[in-house]
Amino acid sequence: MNRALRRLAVLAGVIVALALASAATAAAHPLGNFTVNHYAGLTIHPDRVEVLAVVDSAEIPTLQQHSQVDTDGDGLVSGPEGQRYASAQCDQLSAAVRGTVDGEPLRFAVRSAEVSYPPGEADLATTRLTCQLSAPAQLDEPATLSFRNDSGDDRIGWREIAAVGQGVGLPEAPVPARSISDELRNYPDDLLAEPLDIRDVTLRTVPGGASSLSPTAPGGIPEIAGIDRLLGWGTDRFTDLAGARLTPLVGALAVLLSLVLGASHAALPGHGKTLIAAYLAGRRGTTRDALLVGTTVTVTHTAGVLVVGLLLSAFATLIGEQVLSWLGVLSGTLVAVIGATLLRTAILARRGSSAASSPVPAPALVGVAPGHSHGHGHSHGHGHAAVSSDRAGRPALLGMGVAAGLVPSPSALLVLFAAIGLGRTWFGVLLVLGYGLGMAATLTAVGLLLVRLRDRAELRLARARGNRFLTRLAATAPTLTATLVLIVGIGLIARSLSGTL
Amino acid sequence: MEFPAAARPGRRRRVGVSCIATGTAMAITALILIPSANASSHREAPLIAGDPAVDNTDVWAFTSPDQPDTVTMIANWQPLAEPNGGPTFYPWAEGAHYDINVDSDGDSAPNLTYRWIFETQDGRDGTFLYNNGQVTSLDDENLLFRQTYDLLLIDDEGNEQTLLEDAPAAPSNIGAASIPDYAGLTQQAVIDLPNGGKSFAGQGDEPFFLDLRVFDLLYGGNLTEIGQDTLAGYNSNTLAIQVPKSELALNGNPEANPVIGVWSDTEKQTMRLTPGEENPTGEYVQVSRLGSPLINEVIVPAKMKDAFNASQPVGDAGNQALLDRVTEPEVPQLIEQIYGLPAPAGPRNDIVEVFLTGITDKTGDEINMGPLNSQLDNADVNPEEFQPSDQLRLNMSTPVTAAPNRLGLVANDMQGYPNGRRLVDDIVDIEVLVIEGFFRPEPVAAALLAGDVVNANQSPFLDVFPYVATANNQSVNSALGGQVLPPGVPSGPLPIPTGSGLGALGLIGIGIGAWMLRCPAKDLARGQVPPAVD
Amino acid sequence: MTTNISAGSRRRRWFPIAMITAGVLLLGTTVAGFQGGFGAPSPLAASLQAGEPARDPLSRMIEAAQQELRDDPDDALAWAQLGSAYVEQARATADPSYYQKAQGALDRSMQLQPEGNGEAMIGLGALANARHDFAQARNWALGARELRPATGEVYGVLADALTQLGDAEAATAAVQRMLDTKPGVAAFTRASYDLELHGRTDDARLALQRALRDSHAPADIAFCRYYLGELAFNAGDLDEAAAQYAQGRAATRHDTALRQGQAKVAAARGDLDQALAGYETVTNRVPLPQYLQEYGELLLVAGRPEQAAEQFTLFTQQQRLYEAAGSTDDLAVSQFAADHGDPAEALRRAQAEWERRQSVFVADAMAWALHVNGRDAEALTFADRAASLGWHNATFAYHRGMILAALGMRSEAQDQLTAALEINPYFSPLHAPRARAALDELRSPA
Repeated sequence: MNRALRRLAVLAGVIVALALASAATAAAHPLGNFTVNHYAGLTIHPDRVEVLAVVDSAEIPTLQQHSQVDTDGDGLVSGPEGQRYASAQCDQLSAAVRGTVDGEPLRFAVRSAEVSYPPGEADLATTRLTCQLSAPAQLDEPATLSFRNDSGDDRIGWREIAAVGQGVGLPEAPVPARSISDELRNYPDDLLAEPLDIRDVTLRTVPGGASSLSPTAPGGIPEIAGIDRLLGWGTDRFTDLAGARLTPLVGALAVLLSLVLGASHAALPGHGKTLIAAYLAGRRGTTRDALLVGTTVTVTHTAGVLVVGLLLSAFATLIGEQVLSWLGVLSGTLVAVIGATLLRTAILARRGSSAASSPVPAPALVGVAPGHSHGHGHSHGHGHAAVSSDRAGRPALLGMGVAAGLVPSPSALLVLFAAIGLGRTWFGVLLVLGYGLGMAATLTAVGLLLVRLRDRAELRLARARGNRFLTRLAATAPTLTATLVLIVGIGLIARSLSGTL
Repeated sequence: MEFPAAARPGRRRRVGVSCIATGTAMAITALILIPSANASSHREAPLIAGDPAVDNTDVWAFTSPDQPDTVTMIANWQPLAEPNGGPTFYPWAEGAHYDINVDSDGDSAPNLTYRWIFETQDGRDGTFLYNNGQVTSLDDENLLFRQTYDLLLIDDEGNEQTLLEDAPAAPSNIGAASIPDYAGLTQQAVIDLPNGGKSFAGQGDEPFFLDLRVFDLLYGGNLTEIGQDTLAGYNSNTLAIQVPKSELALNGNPEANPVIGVWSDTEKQTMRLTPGEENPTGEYVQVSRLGSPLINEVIVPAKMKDAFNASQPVGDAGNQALLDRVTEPEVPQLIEQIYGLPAPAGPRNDIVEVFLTGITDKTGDEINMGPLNSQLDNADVNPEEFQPSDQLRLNMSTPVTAAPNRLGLVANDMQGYPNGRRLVDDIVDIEVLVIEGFFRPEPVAAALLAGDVVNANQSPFLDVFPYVATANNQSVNSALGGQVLPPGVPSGPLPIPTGSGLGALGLIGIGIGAWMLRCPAKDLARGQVPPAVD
Repeated sequence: MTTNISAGSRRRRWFPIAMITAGVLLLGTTVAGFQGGFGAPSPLAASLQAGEPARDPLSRMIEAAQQELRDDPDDALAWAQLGSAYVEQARATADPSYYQKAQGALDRSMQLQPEGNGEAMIGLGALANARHDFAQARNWALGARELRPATGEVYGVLADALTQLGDAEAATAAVQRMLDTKPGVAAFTRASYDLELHGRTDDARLALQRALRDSHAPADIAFCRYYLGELAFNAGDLDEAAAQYAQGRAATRHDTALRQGQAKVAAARGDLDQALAGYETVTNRVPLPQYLQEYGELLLVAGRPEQAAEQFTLFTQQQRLYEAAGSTDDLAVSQFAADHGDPAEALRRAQAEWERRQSVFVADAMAWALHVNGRDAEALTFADRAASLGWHNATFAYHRGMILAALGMRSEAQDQLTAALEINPYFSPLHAPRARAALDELRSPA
């Protein structure tokens, strides 16, 4: 008993000690304890260039700088001392960076300076200096912006630049929009990349069009960004797989991944998912109906991706940017016209319909006819709907499936382009098929779910019909949706027009 | 003694726990050992320092097309020399032995060795510049860094004859501004030999043409990575010599003994550390060796390369590991794995014939081409003394083909590789076909006939000695490994379907749906669908 | 019951058609927008592409290996070569982040090919040497030698380890084997070190000159120039040393060692300001313990004890960081503590190191540590040991002289101290004056 306890104690002690030791190691500055690392994040506005400069000094440089910071020599860095130091350092930094727009030099001014001391290894501190610089610039015309960060050239360290545009586009930027080290907080450990050493960058700027590809652009929906990052990760892994040597295992994994991608993509809003679900619910669809929709979706989606993918890549490469933006205007106009027409119709219809009991609020425009709106009994409505849905349901379901599947999703197109680019066209087709299956699975699942919940929903709806607010909402729904379409159309026109100017 | 039942599982548990603990402890200890920077000043000398100046890249041997009673032998060093190679450029290694060996009696020991030994005259005096003005001739005073060479001819008894002393070598092509006419310099560096023949030492365009992605899983695993002469635009250091056939043939008789074997090697002088020695210099050790092209890359695996480079051809016959790699080559297995073309059955005595003995009827009957290029078919050769080895074997009596076919022997151009090697011979395509059994009775899959679709060097070869194209002076744009991704391949995170994308999808969806349901607009607005659809 | 579609069908069809057309057009523009984004590489790749293509052979080799491994991550040989290249790059750039990458790459290689992986073993040995785990490095090298007896690098790793472990004969044999296998920069630089340690300074110079002739990479040229400079400096030839360091700096901008050499020369010539400025730059860039100690000592000589104390604190903190990361350098700590710290700790550390390896470097550290602890008789045995190879080392001679003086062996002490100052009158800004003072005192009638 004693021996066991003792052994256990020793074991625990060893584990604890090692854990502590490893914990200390875990706090190590991953780039070595005498490096000074630099990051410059450029945000390019039409009227100015802002630079977020971060300097991360490891333990030894922090010690070496200590006497400079601790001016009163008391061994501690007080707030004012830190602030003075930060301002002085940021001033030096702003003098060490160089920027030009079309050859004209930019004058950087320090907007803010901060310093903090995150703990490092062996109870020593590291330094994190953050400077916000800003320089006025004229970027309402296409221009060439160059930026160079020469500060701290006497030290070894990671050097990184990122650039994003706000109201300015940066086509083919050689640096990413976001920091890959999370602004020197989290250095990526890529065995296949040398320590980053980017000291300068030359960017082409074009006015207009925020880099909408950046998930952190203002107005970006965080939830979508989150799912999207996941999708992005998945797609990255996927293209890795697609590019790797094609063993059966890799192939199987890739198909599996494409299934997952398809399923998760269908989880995003869109694809007429609600449409189908509601339709199934309304038409009293059965499991078989759900499966039918699923199959249709897969077939049409694959075909759609293939056709659209091939056609569109030819389409987009052949046609220049100008024409494309005019086409954008055209399509926006079409949408606006449709919206206007619908709005007019909706208003007229509303005026026209008086005491007719309004339909249950329907998603979008294609409505779902309630099975009981005429006050028939449950079973009778069942039969009634069954009769009509038997004949109308099947083709309509097919139509829904086709509608949902016909719209090729960008991620499936991406997958196809990747496979073609890597010379594995047939593999790409296989993967698109998998993708479609994944989508179909999600849609079918949602449909089935709603088929099950249908009764409960109907009861709710039946009760809801008495609710005045909901009734009024239901009445205005078509007008609202028509207005929405109109607004979208106008917005598209505006965007395309601003792009061409 | 039997443990009570209750204690037994306890014991197992304890063992298990200790195992886990030990394992964890080891794992954590491994984690702790994160490498740190130099802690003190123990001297850290370079370890992987390449020595490209003495690194053989290629050997060619062919009957000179414009002087058919001579043979031209060309050997190259300094792989992947970029034209903008300043400030050090690509000088020859001083004092090293640059050798081209000739074996005319088939015993795999050289009967003749042509040896170039270089000396540097460095007039730079503190600057790094090779020149301080335009260089229009080899003795131009603007050329600050020059090299000269002695050319020795060594026979099989070790007797040395100096053919050339202090002959000028053409410098590296510094650039268009410094050397406006490198072709002219090349011709100036062609020196006549006393017993007939010519010698050249200098830079030339890299004559080898192939898509180096052949080494990337054989063209990327799906024949997509082809068509790009990866060596286009590079230079290399070239030694070329043209000598009468009578000088090379066994007993001076090229009619009776037309076959010679050629290979190149480099030797460097070592140092002796033995205490008390006045002069620490040592003997010459061989650091590189090359006969047939691509042997070192394709037949000899990575782990054997250093040993192969230090070995002599005379030892090849006894090198079982090497012989195994020839009789059971890896490339056909790879091709089978990747492309599904069945590998020809072993042992591959046809490859042995092509690479190690020369094509002849006197060693089994693998290849039915009659006697072609084995020393065994020389009249004065004693077959007892014949040893197989890696050599480039040339039959000097094969007539020059008026219109050379890049596929050489494979296309029935008897003067082509593997019967000697001309500059225009497409080595990769020929060797892939050979290694897939072209010279055997079985047919070879047509899929391979296209090869790497790099059929010629990007610069045309010269019609006169030294035949290699003039050294380039434009930088090579696509540095090896410079491109991270093939263009047009998406690899970034998925872009958010923008508002317009979503909108487009929605519109199309609605449209299709509406089409399917065929309802009038006003019904849609009201949210009703017709009870029936046809 | 069919709806009469023929009459109103045309009117009904316009809507869906319009919607679809609009949608397709819009999709086209969207996809076209994506097309631009399709070419955008991942952030890391983009960052890589933003730099210029590498020029020197080592960087090119690294790039080529990285590209290969992106296509085929199961290539054990490529991982091993990449790992070795990272170790080499760490040495050339003094950037420590390469060590972790090297470890990762080499581990991956061993994972993929645990048996017969000679290349990975060579890399792991080189990494162990860099981390001062010389016993481990020797083991790796011996294992690699079984697999690759014809590969020169094996003997390089082995020679480095054996030299530091104190097995002088075996080390020389390994260097000789390396010379006979691959006579190039790597072999000649090691030959030079071996010759220097045995007191054959002229031959060491010849070897470095041969190495310089074969050097192409700027880092290798800098190395050869630095050690040619060191040979000259350690023999008291300041002009030659300065010339070599200057030539080295012309070849490569950022080599810290060359700057340190120039700072040493400035100090020896009495130009303290320039020397201090040089040391400040050096310690800012690569704060090696050796540089920190030298800087601190120079500050003491210049009459700035507080700044000197700062550097010594930095030294101590640097050592704590190393220890936190799991590496120990008892030798450096012992040497530092003997002159600027706790004598008891100096002895403790020297003894710990001596247990691990019995090279001449550690012997001298033991001698000096014993001396500062007053145990001069024992110190003398170790000082004799330190001199056993015949190395013309002024510091060793100085230590020995001071020990002899403390033992009262005046004439021997005089000889040794004179010898030290003859070898290099500038061997240390702090100790050379002390050697002179001791010599004066010994020469005056007792």
